[in-house]
Amino acid sequence: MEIDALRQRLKEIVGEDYVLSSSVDLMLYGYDAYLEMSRPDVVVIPENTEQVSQIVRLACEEGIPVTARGSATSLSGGPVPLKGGIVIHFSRMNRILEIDTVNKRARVEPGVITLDLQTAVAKKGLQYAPDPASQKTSTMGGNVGENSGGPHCLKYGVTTNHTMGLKIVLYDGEVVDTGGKAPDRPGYDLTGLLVGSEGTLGIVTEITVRLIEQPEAIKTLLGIFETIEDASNTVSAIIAEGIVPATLEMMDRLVIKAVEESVHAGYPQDAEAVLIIELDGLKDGMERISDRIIKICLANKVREVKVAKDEAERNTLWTGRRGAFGAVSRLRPNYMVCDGTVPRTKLPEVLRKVTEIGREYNLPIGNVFHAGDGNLHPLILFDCRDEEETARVREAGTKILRLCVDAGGTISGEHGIGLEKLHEMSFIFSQDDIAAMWKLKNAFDPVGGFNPGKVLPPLAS
Amino acid sequence: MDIKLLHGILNPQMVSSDTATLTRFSVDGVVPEAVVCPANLSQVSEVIKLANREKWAVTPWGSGTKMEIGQVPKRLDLVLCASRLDKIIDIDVANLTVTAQAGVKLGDLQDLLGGAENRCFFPLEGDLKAQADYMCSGRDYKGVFLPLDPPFPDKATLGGIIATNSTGPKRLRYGLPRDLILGVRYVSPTGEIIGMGGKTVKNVSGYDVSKIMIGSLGTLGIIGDITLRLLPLPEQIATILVSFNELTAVTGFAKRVLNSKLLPTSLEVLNRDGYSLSASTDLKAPSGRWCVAVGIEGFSEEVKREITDLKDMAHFEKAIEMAELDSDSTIVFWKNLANCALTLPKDGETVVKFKAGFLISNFPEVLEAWTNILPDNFCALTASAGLGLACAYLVIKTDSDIEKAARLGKAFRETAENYGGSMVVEFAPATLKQKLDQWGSPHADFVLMRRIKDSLDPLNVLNPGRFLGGI
Amino acid sequence: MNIVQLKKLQYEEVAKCTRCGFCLPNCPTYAVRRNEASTPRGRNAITRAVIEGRLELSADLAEAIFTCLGCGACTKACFPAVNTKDLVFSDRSCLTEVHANPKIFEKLSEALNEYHNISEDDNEDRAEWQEYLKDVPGEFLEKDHADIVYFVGCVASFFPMAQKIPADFATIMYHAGLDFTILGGDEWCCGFPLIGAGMPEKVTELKNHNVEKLKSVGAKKAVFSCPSCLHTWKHLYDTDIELLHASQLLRDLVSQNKLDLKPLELKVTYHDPCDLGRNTGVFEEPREVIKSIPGIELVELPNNRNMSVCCGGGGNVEMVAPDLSAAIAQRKIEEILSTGANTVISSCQQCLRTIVTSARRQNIELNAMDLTQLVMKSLSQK
Repeated sequence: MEIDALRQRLKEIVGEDYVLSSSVDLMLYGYDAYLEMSRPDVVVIPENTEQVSQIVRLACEEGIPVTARGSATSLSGGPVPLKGGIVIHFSRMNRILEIDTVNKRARVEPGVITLDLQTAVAKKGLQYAPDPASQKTSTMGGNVGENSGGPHCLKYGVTTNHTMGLKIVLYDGEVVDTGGKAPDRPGYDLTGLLVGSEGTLGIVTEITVRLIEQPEAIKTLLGIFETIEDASNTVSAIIAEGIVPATLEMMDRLVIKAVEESVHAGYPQDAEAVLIIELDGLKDGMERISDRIIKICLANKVREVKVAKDEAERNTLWTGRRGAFGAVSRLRPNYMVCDGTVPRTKLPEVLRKVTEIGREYNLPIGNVFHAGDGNLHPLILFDCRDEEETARVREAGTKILRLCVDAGGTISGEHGIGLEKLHEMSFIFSQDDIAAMWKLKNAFDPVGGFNPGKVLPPLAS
Repeated sequence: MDIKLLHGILNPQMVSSDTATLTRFSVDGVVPEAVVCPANLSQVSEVIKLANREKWAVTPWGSGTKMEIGQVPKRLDLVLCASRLDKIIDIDVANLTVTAQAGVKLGDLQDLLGGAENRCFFPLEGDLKAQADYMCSGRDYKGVFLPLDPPFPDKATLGGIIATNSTGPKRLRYGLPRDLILGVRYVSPTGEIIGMGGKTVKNVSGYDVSKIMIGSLGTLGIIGDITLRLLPLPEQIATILVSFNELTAVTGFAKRVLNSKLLPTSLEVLNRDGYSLSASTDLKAPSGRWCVAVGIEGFSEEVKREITDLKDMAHFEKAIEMAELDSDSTIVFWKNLANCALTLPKDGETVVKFKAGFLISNFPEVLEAWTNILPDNFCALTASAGLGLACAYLVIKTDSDIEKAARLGKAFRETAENYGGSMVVEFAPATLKQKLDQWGSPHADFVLMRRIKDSLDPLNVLNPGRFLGGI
Repeated sequence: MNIVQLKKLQYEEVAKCTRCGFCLPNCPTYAVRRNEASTPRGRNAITRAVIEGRLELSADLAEAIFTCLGCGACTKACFPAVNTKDLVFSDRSCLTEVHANPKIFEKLSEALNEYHNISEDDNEDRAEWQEYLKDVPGEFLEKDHADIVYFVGCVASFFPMAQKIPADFATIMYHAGLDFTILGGDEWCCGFPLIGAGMPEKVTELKNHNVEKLKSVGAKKAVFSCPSCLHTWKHLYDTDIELLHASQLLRDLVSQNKLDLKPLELKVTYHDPCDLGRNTGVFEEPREVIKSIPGIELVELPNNRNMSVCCGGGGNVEMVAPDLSAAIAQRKIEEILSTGANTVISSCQQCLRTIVTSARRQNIELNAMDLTQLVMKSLSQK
């Protein structure tokens, strides 16, 4: 089909105003927060599932790729339309359809901003637990696509643990519901497979999530350490003590400095590492547990432990953490995040090697990460306008991921494979493993139309 | 079947074809032609590849506690028994993970975990050793546990629990197998050894394939080993029993608990027969028609507070009786409940178990409807008020009560479906299965399940016909 | 401005954008248009693509670049604090250079050149609002020398809807015993609309004229009731005269007890104008004035101070995309109504005009007044 005819058909589906195809618009829908860019042939902004279904059916008939996109905050190239085709932008499908306080479920469209849902349910005394650092702008659809985590996932689990059901548009435009508000529907756990599939299996147009009660009490501590190893050991020691806090987040000196310059969260600039430890739950016993944590910190040579006195102090501590990625971009124009994950006891060893890699490649590397989950986020700082430097960054990034895998970890904890880590998939998966995933891909998407070129590397023939 | 082909890839003692063994490993009365007990995943892989070549139908078998789940097999040539896949590969207390083979029995694993040294692992030597000692002595209790409490917790194997998504009352607080699984190695229906996930708590590398292995009843692969999340053993455990006469008071109490900040591990509503399942000699039956059992685990201050609050809530709803179980009685109470399907039937009797999931908001309606259609003879109801789950255990006469049980099952199912849910038959004789669909009717998303099965198991080798919709 | 100059001036700035998307929820234009071209990230990407030669400087860009309100909310959400407003204004200048700008701005420029005001009226009519003055002697405003010059601004001078504001402000200053004057027909447009139009070089003539006139009066202070005039003076004019906003002057009068404020039973909310609050840093003075009036209850908007959402009247957007401007104003009105206040106070005539016009068009009853009007109302209570 000629591109003009395609655009015309799409306009018939979603209306004139919501089909974009100027050269400017196509440039604008070719990126996310990762380095690579591409260009779709056309962008559509549908309003409901029926329109999405018609778009996908048309794309299937014409053999055109379809890539779904929310706020495009992905760090791995997830929404970059590698093979062109249609980009579906979910910005208009941003309604919270239902907040069911009795069943503790919410039903939302994929374009709903994570924080908007959290704010809405908080008014009813409930919470939606996953809290990606980008929650202020990330969409629920994006969270499902990437199986997003966040600081509180140490205790509460990631997006998949809170996703009860999905409405999806299949490759041929059919619409089906998986899972639902009620538990234990018989059959394969399609919802579980779809979460984290990065839009390569189907297009999600409605999400049913689990809500939980807000904790009665929250206690936030900030440990300030002279070495990153002391901080890492504290993380392991807290867990070994039989305490599973809501969060255990760490930042190193480079990041602390950047954060302080941008938001003044009250982190001391000369510390080598800070650890944000948050407890939540019943207020009873929390004092004792927090005292125990302080003792563990002391045993690990903490310089100082600050306890947030009120909500405002707590927010300040968190503002620093949430803005950490952005803050380092004050230092250099670009950063690449290596989302490698290791068993948390390996943290000191891996972090030391990460520093060595930074030295070897002459690149500044900052660390801000979910220490409790062992989910590293080394931020390699650079300027993508310098091609030679960018090439070094990619090499260093790959080396860090290899390091994580060698330490018994994996190449992505929460940012997804996208197009960024296709090559590194072979670090952890055999050809048979990848073939097994391709079989699933083919079962969902026999025409290969959904977000082609992502997640799965081609099989070696 | 040519048994010699099996002998070509397995030691003779791993292959059985004597009548006694075959009968013991029959599924819903369908007798296999051979039973194999491979000792590692490579052998499993060889067996499955052979099965593909020979077009044999293979049914995996753990300890047999879940073999009643599923339809009567369409075909059955080979039972693949996991009894030799019983190694615990790695208990990593510091990282709170365990990796074990599918044939490991949950009870054995829990015993090991409970006594596991709670020594945190420091990769650096030297002066940190002193700290490590401090860490370990700072706690006056030790051990970790796998927060799963499925039926038959002692006998059930990890593989079986995962393959059937088997859960118990503690799921309210700790979640399902799907929330705990970090990685799985399995043999695909075409015989490849596949590894997915790993040891890290967070992992989004590639598709989350372990999710569809959970609850797939062995139709998508033979589970080899599994890595699961652990939790530190709670400092204290307790159970509060509260009894009521009226269902409205039961649901009123449950609502109070659920809307509070308390975090009970379980909130089970039991009718009088249901209660009798868990009663032991030193527990007298409560006088009310209903009993609510609330499990509590946590730090001692938390447990104390929860007990106080629960008692207040019970008072407010005018409970008839209240009892507090200490940690020993708590263990016995929940274990009895989990094992009841084995202990109930006498000679000539059999247990039928229905399990339904529905909207929590309809908990009162479902319970009321089920109560109204209960038979006069024994029928235990256990329902989780916080999850929207209910189980009914009937004891029926194996030869004469089938029709009646089928009618009842259909009525139960209709109720569950009316309230946004579904019902599966978890325990039933084959005669009943022929009159009552195990799974109920599939939904529109079944088209995907069919395509997945066809894509992964083109020759329909694994457990043919036993799963939802005839998969 | 040409691309070479754009690169020199803005490449480092735009390179700071990591496309993280944190600005998206802060942009009022994205809230309405729902497409990437209406996001600060998108506008940054356009700037960068132009600099790197990946995108041609053409009328295709005009829609995205000329619909930015210049409200600066994105920069507040941005960790590297990319100054998108500044980038966009540079882009506008580039587009103007290649004649790819909306034609309406050429007209605006011609009008300012000819009339020295934005409404194409005889500039001698600038003091028309004096008709609303009751007890201030006319000659008081026509002094050759004074301590303070009140720079009235085009909107308050020529738009009937806003003309009561300078009248009230002058009355308040008169009663407070201040020595002030206005420039009358010698006050020319400050040039603010030209910056938003991408013609910053054309501000020079207006600027030189205004600075010259102010000097001739011998004023020590200039006071503005229009935040955009103030902002332009502060950032583009080079003068050592103290520049104040009306709200700051009022606050000083309040703290010196020079105003006899009487009780008003009102529940009000306050809208922070972008150019006064976020872009100039004046947040608390207007609030202090409001709170000093007995009987008044001030409820904050959900998004206030640095997070205040533009009324839709910024960045000349009204001239190129009136529908967008109106839709943003409507959202502003919804936000105001959500507070339960029956009156919204602002301290910008342009904001008031946008809000009131939009409310009228939709038949929404909304009481809106300038801070000076509120003070006047309190003063004139019996």
